[in-house]
Amino acid sequence: MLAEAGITVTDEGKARARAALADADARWTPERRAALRRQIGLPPAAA
Amino acid sequence: MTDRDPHDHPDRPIRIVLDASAIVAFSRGSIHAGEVIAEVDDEHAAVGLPVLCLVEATRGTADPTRLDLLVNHRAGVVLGDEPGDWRALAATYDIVGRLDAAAAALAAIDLGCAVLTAQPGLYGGLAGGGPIIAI
Repeated sequence: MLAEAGITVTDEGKARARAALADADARWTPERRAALRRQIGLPPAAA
Repeated sequence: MTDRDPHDHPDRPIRIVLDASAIVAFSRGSIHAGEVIAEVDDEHAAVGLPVLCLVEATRGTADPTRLDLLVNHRAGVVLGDEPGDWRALAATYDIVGRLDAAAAALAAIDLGCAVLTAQPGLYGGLAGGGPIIAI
């Protein structure tokens, strides 16, 4: 599908994406996510 | 929204939500968007595509058929808004200033993932700058 869209992805590119996803996971702790939910009025996430 | 059912991909957790700018970037051949989608697919996870973001993206893409490629991809899950979350959507809209971006942010916050975006500034009013990955 990506090739059909004219996008050629390399293993190095996927490693970059994996690192970005992992970084977001690390930055967004449960406490920070809970603060976000409170800000917009969502109930606490299920445990 | 906590019971959001990723309808036709129940076996793939949603790893990231694409906002309209990320969807448009994909449609224009963005390698950065493509890398994230490919990685998520390799993880047997899914990319969430809020309906409102797809609609907004149709205005910014030169090739609408590329949106179909994304929607029909095995890792693509179209996300609707839950009627019961209208107040949270309104609160998010008030913060980010665009309904499509609000839908993306709300989905990501509720699903515990991040928004992939080419417009990170949209989410600056969310606590901590919002859970975003900028492309």
